[in-house]
Amino acid sequence: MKETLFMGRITATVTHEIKNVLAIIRESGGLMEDFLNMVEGDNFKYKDRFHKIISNIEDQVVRGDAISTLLNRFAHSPDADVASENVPDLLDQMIVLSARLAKAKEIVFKSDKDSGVILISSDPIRIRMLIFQAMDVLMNYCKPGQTILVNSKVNDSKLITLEFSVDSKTQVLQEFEQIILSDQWKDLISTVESLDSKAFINPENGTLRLELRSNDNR
Amino acid sequence: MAIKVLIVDDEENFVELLAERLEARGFQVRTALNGSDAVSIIAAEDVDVVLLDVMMPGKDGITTLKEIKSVKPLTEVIMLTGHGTVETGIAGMKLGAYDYLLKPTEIERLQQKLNEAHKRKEDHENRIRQAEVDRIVTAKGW
Repeated sequence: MKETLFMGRITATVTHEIKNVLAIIRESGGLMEDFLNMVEGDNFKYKDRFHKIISNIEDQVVRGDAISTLLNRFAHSPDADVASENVPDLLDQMIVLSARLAKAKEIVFKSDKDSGVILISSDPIRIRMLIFQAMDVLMNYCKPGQTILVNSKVNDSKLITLEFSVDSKTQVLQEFEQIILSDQWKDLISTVESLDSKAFINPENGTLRLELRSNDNR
Repeated sequence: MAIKVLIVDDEENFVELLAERLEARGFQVRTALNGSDAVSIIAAEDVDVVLLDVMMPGKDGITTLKEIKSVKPLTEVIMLTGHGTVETGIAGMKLGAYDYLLKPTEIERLQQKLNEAHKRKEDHENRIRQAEVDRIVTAKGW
Protein backbone atom coordinates (compact mmCIF):
# COMPACT_ATOMS: atom_id res chain seq x y z
CA MET A 1 0.00 0.00 0.00
CA LYS A 2 2.89 2.31 0.74
CA GLU A 3 4.05 1.78 -2.84
CA THR A 4 0.72 2.80 -4.38
CA LEU A 5 0.52 5.81 -2.08
CA PHE A 6 4.01 6.80 -3.22
CA MET A 7 3.08 6.41 -6.91
CA GLY A 8 -0.15 8.32 -6.38
CA ARG A 9 1.47 11.16 -4.49
CA ILE A 10 4.17 11.72 -7.09
CA THR A 11 1.66 11.52 -9.95
CA ALA A 12 -0.72 13.96 -8.23
CA THR A 13 2.15 16.40 -7.63
CA VAL A 14 3.16 16.23 -11.28
CA THR A 15 -0.41 16.86 -12.47
CA HIS A 16 -0.39 19.99 -10.31
CA GLU A 17 2.79 21.10 -12.05
CA ILE A 18 1.25 20.34 -15.45
CA LYS A 19 -1.59 22.71 -14.51
CA ASN A 20 1.00 25.46 -14.00
CA VAL A 21 2.50 24.69 -17.42
CA LEU A 22 -0.95 24.79 -19.03
CA ALA A 23 -1.73 28.08 -17.27
CA ILE A 24 1.41 29.66 -18.76
CA ILE A 25 0.63 28.29 -22.23
CA ARG A 26 -2.95 29.58 -21.98
CA GLU A 27 -1.84 33.07 -20.90
CA SER A 28 0.85 33.15 -23.61
CA GLY A 29 -1.70 32.27 -26.29
CA GLY A 30 -4.15 34.71 -24.74
CA LEU A 31 -1.62 37.54 -24.76
CA MET A 32 -0.82 36.86 -28.42
CA GLU A 33 -4.53 37.06 -29.15
CA ASP A 34 -4.78 40.34 -27.21
CA PHE A 35 -2.01 41.80 -29.39
CA LEU A 36 -3.59 40.41 -32.53
CA ASN A 37 -6.90 42.02 -31.67
CA MET A 38 -5.09 45.37 -31.50
CA VAL A 39 -4.19 45.08 -35.19
CA GLU A 40 -6.79 47.01 -37.12
CA GLY A 41 -8.23 46.00 -40.47
CA ASP A 42 -6.00 44.08 -42.90
CA ASN A 43 -2.71 45.46 -41.63
CA PHE A 44 -1.45 41.98 -40.79
CA LYS A 45 -1.57 39.47 -43.61
CA TYR A 46 -1.51 36.39 -41.38
CA LYS A 47 -4.12 37.58 -38.87
CA ASP A 48 -6.63 34.79 -39.60
CA ARG A 49 -3.96 32.11 -39.55
CA PHE A 50 -2.66 33.39 -36.23
CA HIS A 51 -6.19 33.35 -34.81
CA LYS A 52 -6.50 29.73 -35.94
CA ILE A 53 -3.17 28.80 -34.35
CA ILE A 54 -4.11 30.51 -31.08
CA SER A 55 -7.44 28.71 -31.15
CA ASN A 56 -5.57 25.39 -31.57
CA ILE A 57 -3.38 26.27 -28.58
CA GLU A 58 -6.48 26.96 -26.47
CA ASP A 59 -8.11 23.69 -27.60
CA GLN A 60 -5.03 21.75 -26.56
CA VAL A 61 -4.93 23.53 -23.19
CA VAL A 62 -8.54 22.47 -22.60
CA ARG A 63 -7.66 18.91 -23.65
CA GLY A 64 -4.55 18.80 -21.46
CA ASP A 65 -6.48 20.29 -18.55
CA ALA A 66 -9.18 17.60 -18.79
CA ILE A 67 -6.62 14.77 -18.95
CA SER A 68 -4.59 16.26 -16.14
CA THR A 69 -7.70 16.62 -13.93
CA LEU A 70 -8.69 12.98 -14.46
CA LEU A 71 -5.12 11.80 -13.93
CA ASN A 72 -5.05 13.74 -10.67
CA ARG A 73 -8.25 12.02 -9.48
CA PHE A 74 -6.76 8.69 -10.52
CA ALA A 75 -3.57 9.49 -8.60
CA HIS A 76 -5.58 10.25 -5.48
CA SER A 77 -7.36 6.87 -5.60
CA PRO A 78 -4.94 5.20 -3.13
CA ASP A 79 -5.66 7.93 -0.54
CA ALA A 80 -8.45 5.84 1.07
CA ASP A 81 -8.99 2.09 1.44
CA VAL A 82 -12.69 2.52 0.75
CA ALA A 83 -14.35 5.44 -1.00
CA SER A 84 -17.82 6.32 -2.22
CA GLU A 85 -17.64 7.28 -5.89
CA ASN A 86 -19.94 7.84 -8.85
CA VAL A 87 -19.73 4.86 -11.23
CA PRO A 88 -20.33 6.86 -14.47
CA ASP A 89 -17.51 9.23 -13.39
CA LEU A 90 -15.19 6.29 -12.78
CA LEU A 91 -16.08 4.94 -16.18
CA ASP A 92 -15.43 8.26 -17.93
CA GLN A 93 -12.16 8.58 -16.02
CA MET A 94 -10.93 5.18 -17.22
CA ILE A 95 -12.16 5.79 -20.79
CA VAL A 96 -10.25 9.07 -21.04
CA LEU A 97 -7.09 7.72 -19.38
CA SER A 98 -7.12 4.63 -21.63
CA ALA A 99 -7.93 6.60 -24.78
CA ARG A 100 -4.43 6.26 -26.18
CA LEU A 101 -4.47 2.45 -25.78
CA ALA A 102 -7.93 2.23 -27.34
CA LYS A 103 -6.86 4.46 -30.21
CA ALA A 104 -3.89 2.23 -30.92
CA LYS A 105 -6.34 -0.69 -31.28
CA GLU A 106 -8.78 1.51 -33.23
CA ILE A 107 -11.49 0.78 -30.67
CA VAL A 108 -13.85 3.45 -29.35
CA PHE A 109 -15.50 3.31 -25.90
CA LYS A 110 -18.64 5.38 -25.41
CA SER A 111 -20.36 5.72 -22.07
CA ASP A 112 -24.07 6.25 -21.61
CA LYS A 113 -24.40 9.90 -20.60
CA ASP A 114 -27.88 9.45 -19.10
CA SER A 115 -26.92 7.12 -16.27
CA GLY A 116 -27.31 9.73 -13.56
CA VAL A 117 -25.51 9.34 -10.24
CA ILE A 118 -24.75 5.74 -9.21
CA LEU A 119 -22.72 5.67 -6.02
CA ILE A 120 -20.55 2.73 -5.13
CA SER A 121 -18.56 2.27 -1.96
CA SER A 122 -15.52 0.14 -2.76
CA ASP A 123 -11.74 -0.13 -2.93
CA PRO A 124 -10.87 2.82 -5.22
CA ILE A 125 -7.88 1.12 -6.83
CA ARG A 126 -9.49 -2.28 -7.40
CA ILE A 127 -12.65 -0.83 -8.91
CA ARG A 128 -10.59 1.19 -11.39
CA MET A 129 -8.45 -1.82 -12.15
CA LEU A 130 -11.54 -3.92 -12.80
CA ILE A 131 -13.02 -1.39 -15.22
CA PHE A 132 -9.69 -1.16 -17.00
CA GLN A 133 -9.33 -4.96 -17.15
CA ALA A 134 -12.76 -5.21 -18.79
CA MET A 135 -11.78 -2.54 -21.31
CA ASP A 136 -8.40 -4.15 -21.90
CA VAL A 137 -9.83 -7.58 -22.60
CA LEU A 138 -12.30 -6.05 -25.07
CA MET A 139 -9.54 -4.05 -26.74
CA ASN A 140 -7.69 -7.31 -27.35
CA TYR A 141 -10.66 -9.31 -28.59
CA CYS A 142 -12.63 -6.77 -30.59
CA LYS A 143 -11.87 -5.79 -34.16
CA PRO A 144 -10.40 -2.43 -35.21
CA GLY A 145 -13.15 0.07 -35.97
CA GLN A 146 -15.60 -1.35 -33.44
CA THR A 147 -17.36 0.83 -30.90
CA ILE A 148 -18.12 -0.43 -27.40
CA LEU A 149 -21.04 1.16 -25.60
CA VAL A 150 -20.87 1.12 -21.83
CA ASN A 151 -24.04 1.37 -19.82
CA SER A 152 -24.18 1.66 -16.05
CA LYS A 153 -27.32 1.16 -13.98
CA VAL A 154 -28.45 0.17 -10.51
CA ASN A 155 -31.41 -2.10 -9.73
CA ASP A 156 -33.83 -2.13 -6.78
CA SER A 157 -31.52 -4.39 -4.74
CA LYS A 158 -28.73 -1.84 -5.25
CA LEU A 159 -26.80 -4.20 -7.52
CA ILE A 160 -24.77 -2.05 -9.89
CA THR A 161 -24.36 -3.29 -13.44
CA LEU A 162 -21.76 -2.14 -15.94
CA GLU A 163 -22.44 -3.56 -19.35
CA PHE A 164 -19.95 -3.31 -22.22
CA SER A 165 -21.74 -3.94 -25.48
CA VAL A 166 -20.04 -4.27 -28.88
CA ASP A 167 -21.85 -2.48 -31.69
CA SER A 168 -21.39 -4.96 -34.57
CA LYS A 169 -22.08 -8.16 -32.65
CA THR A 170 -21.98 -10.66 -35.49
CA GLN A 171 -18.26 -10.17 -35.91
CA VAL A 172 -17.32 -10.87 -32.31
CA LEU A 173 -18.90 -14.21 -31.43
CA GLN A 174 -15.84 -16.32 -32.09
CA GLU A 175 -13.44 -13.92 -30.42
CA PHE A 176 -15.67 -13.59 -27.37
CA GLU A 177 -15.65 -17.35 -26.86
CA GLN A 178 -11.86 -17.14 -26.58
CA ILE A 179 -11.97 -14.51 -23.84
CA ILE A 180 -13.01 -16.97 -21.12
CA LEU A 181 -9.93 -19.09 -21.81
CA SER A 182 -7.52 -16.14 -21.62
CA ASP A 183 -5.18 -15.22 -18.76
CA GLN A 184 -6.59 -11.68 -18.96
CA TRP A 185 -10.04 -13.01 -18.07
CA LYS A 186 -8.59 -15.00 -15.15
CA ASP A 187 -6.96 -11.82 -13.85
CA LEU A 188 -10.26 -9.96 -14.23
CA ILE A 189 -12.12 -12.71 -12.34
CA SER A 190 -9.55 -12.50 -9.55
CA THR A 191 -10.15 -8.74 -9.23
CA VAL A 192 -13.93 -9.01 -9.45
CA GLU A 193 -14.01 -11.71 -6.76
CA SER A 194 -11.86 -9.59 -4.47
CA LEU A 195 -14.63 -6.98 -4.74
CA ASP A 196 -17.30 -9.59 -3.92
CA SER A 197 -18.75 -8.97 -7.37
CA LYS A 198 -19.29 -10.96 -10.58
CA ALA A 199 -18.33 -10.80 -14.26
CA PHE A 200 -20.07 -12.42 -17.20
CA ILE A 201 -19.27 -12.71 -20.88
CA ASN A 202 -21.98 -13.40 -23.42
CA PRO A 203 -20.62 -14.31 -26.87
CA GLU A 204 -24.12 -14.48 -28.34
CA ASN A 205 -24.99 -10.86 -27.80
CA GLY A 206 -21.43 -9.49 -27.62
CA THR A 207 -21.56 -8.19 -24.08
CA LEU A 208 -19.33 -8.19 -21.05
CA ARG A 209 -21.21 -7.50 -17.84
CA LEU A 210 -19.88 -6.58 -14.41
CA GLU A 211 -22.22 -6.90 -11.45
CA LEU A 212 -20.79 -4.79 -8.68
CA ARG A 213 -21.68 -4.84 -5.02
CA SER A 214 -21.23 -1.72 -3.00
CA ASN A 215 -19.47 -2.22 0.35
CA ASP A 216 -22.48 -0.75 2.11
CA ASN A 217 -24.78 -3.32 0.48
CA ARG A 218 -22.99 -6.56 1.32
CA MET B 1 -11.07 54.19 -11.04
CA ALA B 2 -9.06 51.10 -11.95
CA ILE B 3 -9.39 48.06 -9.70
CA LYS B 4 -6.08 47.40 -7.95
CA VAL B 5 -5.10 43.75 -8.21
CA LEU B 6 -2.16 41.94 -6.66
CA ILE B 7 -1.16 38.64 -8.30
CA VAL B 8 0.76 36.32 -5.98
CA ASP B 9 2.30 33.20 -7.53
CA ASP B 10 5.79 31.68 -7.59
CA GLU B 11 5.49 31.00 -11.36
CA GLU B 12 7.18 34.14 -12.66
CA ASN B 13 6.16 33.65 -16.30
CA PHE B 14 2.55 33.15 -15.31
CA VAL B 15 2.54 36.26 -13.14
CA GLU B 16 4.07 38.45 -15.86
CA LEU B 17 1.75 37.23 -18.61
CA LEU B 18 -1.37 37.50 -16.50
CA ALA B 19 -0.40 40.97 -15.25
CA GLU B 20 -0.02 42.19 -18.84
CA ARG B 21 -3.36 40.72 -19.87
CA LEU B 22 -5.20 42.22 -16.90
CA GLU B 23 -3.56 45.63 -17.44
CA ALA B 24 -4.77 45.52 -21.05
CA ARG B 25 -8.26 45.07 -19.59
CA GLY B 26 -8.02 48.15 -17.40
CA PHE B 27 -6.86 46.66 -14.08
CA GLN B 28 -4.01 48.21 -12.14
CA VAL B 29 -1.74 45.28 -11.36
CA ARG B 30 1.04 44.60 -8.85
CA THR B 31 2.82 41.28 -8.59
CA ALA B 32 4.59 39.25 -5.91
CA LEU B 33 6.38 35.91 -6.20
CA ASN B 34 5.87 34.83 -2.59
CA GLY B 35 3.57 35.30 0.38
CA SER B 36 5.92 37.50 2.42
CA ASP B 37 6.34 40.05 -0.39
CA ALA B 38 2.57 40.01 -0.93
CA VAL B 39 1.85 40.85 2.72
CA SER B 40 4.45 43.67 2.64
CA ILE B 41 2.85 45.18 -0.47
CA ILE B 42 -0.63 44.95 1.02
CA ALA B 43 0.53 46.58 4.28
CA ALA B 44 2.12 49.48 2.36
CA GLU B 45 -0.27 49.99 -0.53
CA ASP B 46 -3.94 50.04 -1.35
CA VAL B 47 -4.96 46.75 -2.96
CA ASP B 48 -8.56 45.84 -3.81
CA VAL B 49 -8.30 42.18 -4.78
CA VAL B 50 -5.51 39.64 -4.32
CA LEU B 51 -5.20 36.68 -6.66
CA LEU B 52 -3.40 34.20 -4.46
CA ASP B 53 -1.88 30.86 -5.49
CA VAL B 54 -2.43 28.30 -2.72
CA MET B 55 0.68 26.24 -3.33
CA MET B 56 3.80 28.34 -3.00
CA PRO B 57 7.20 27.59 -1.52
CA GLY B 58 7.81 29.24 1.84
CA LYS B 59 4.67 30.88 3.14
CA ASP B 60 1.75 28.90 1.70
CA GLY B 61 -1.53 30.34 0.45
CA ILE B 62 -3.53 29.77 3.64
CA THR B 63 -0.87 31.37 5.89
CA THR B 64 -0.58 34.29 3.48
CA LEU B 65 -4.37 34.67 3.41
CA LYS B 66 -4.53 34.82 7.22
CA GLU B 67 -1.83 37.50 7.29
CA ILE B 68 -3.51 39.52 4.54
CA LYS B 69 -6.82 39.41 6.44
CA SER B 70 -5.05 40.42 9.64
CA VAL B 71 -3.31 43.41 7.98
CA LYS B 72 -6.19 44.56 5.71
CA PRO B 73 -9.39 42.68 6.55
CA LEU B 74 -11.39 44.30 3.74
CA THR B 75 -8.99 43.34 0.98
CA GLU B 76 -10.67 40.59 -1.02
CA VAL B 77 -8.75 37.44 -1.88
CA ILE B 78 -9.38 34.96 -4.68
CA MET B 79 -7.54 31.69 -4.18
CA LEU B 80 -5.95 30.14 -7.28
CA THR B 81 -5.75 26.39 -7.00
CA GLY B 82 -4.79 23.28 -8.92
CA HIS B 83 -7.35 20.46 -8.91
CA GLY B 84 -5.55 18.65 -6.10
CA THR B 85 -5.79 21.67 -3.86
CA VAL B 86 -9.48 22.53 -4.21
CA GLU B 87 -9.87 21.69 -0.51
CA THR B 88 -7.37 24.45 0.24
CA GLY B 89 -9.41 26.85 -1.88
CA ILE B 90 -12.52 25.95 0.12
CA ALA B 91 -10.58 26.21 3.40
CA GLY B 92 -9.52 29.68 2.22
CA MET B 93 -13.15 30.67 1.68
CA LYS B 94 -13.91 29.60 5.25
CA LEU B 95 -11.15 31.97 6.34
CA GLY B 96 -12.65 34.88 4.44
CA ALA B 97 -11.44 34.48 0.84
CA TYR B 98 -14.03 35.66 -1.69
CA ASP B 99 -13.81 32.59 -3.92
CA TYR B 100 -11.41 30.20 -5.56
CA LEU B 101 -10.54 29.54 -9.20
CA LEU B 102 -8.97 26.52 -10.83
CA LYS B 103 -5.80 26.81 -12.87
CA PRO B 104 -5.63 27.26 -15.83
CA THR B 105 -8.32 29.93 -15.59
CA GLU B 106 -10.08 31.60 -18.51
CA ILE B 107 -9.40 35.34 -18.57
CA GLU B 108 -13.10 36.22 -18.92
CA ARG B 109 -13.99 34.19 -15.83
CA LEU B 110 -11.10 35.69 -13.89
CA GLN B 111 -12.10 39.20 -14.93
CA GLN B 112 -15.67 38.53 -13.78
CA LYS B 113 -14.51 37.21 -10.39
CA LEU B 114 -12.19 40.19 -9.88
CA ASN B 115 -15.04 42.59 -10.61
CA GLU B 116 -17.38 40.74 -8.25
CA ALA B 117 -14.78 40.64 -5.48
CA HIS B 118 -14.12 44.36 -5.91
CA LYS B 119 -17.86 45.06 -5.75
CA ARG B 120 -18.07 43.17 -2.46
CA LYS B 121 -15.17 45.20 -1.06
CA GLU B 122 -16.79 48.47 -2.17
CA ASP B 123 -20.16 47.47 -0.66
CA HIS B 124 -18.46 46.51 2.58
CA GLU B 125 -16.55 49.82 2.75
CA ASN B 126 -19.74 51.75 2.01
CA ARG B 127 -21.60 49.96 4.80
CA ILE B 128 -18.80 50.79 7.24
CA ARG B 129 -18.84 54.46 6.15
CA GLN B 130 -22.63 54.58 6.56
CA ALA B 131 -22.36 52.98 10.01
CA GLU B 132 -19.74 55.60 10.99
CA VAL B 133 -22.02 58.41 9.79
CA ASP B 134 -24.99 56.91 11.68
CA ARG B 135 -22.86 56.60 14.84
CA ILE B 136 -21.77 60.23 14.63
CA VAL B 137 -25.30 61.45 13.92
CA THR B 138 -26.65 59.46 16.87
CA ALA B 139 -23.86 60.61 19.20
CA LYS B 140 -24.37 64.26 18.29
CA GLY B 141 -28.13 63.93 18.53
CA TRP B 142 -28.61 65.41 15.02
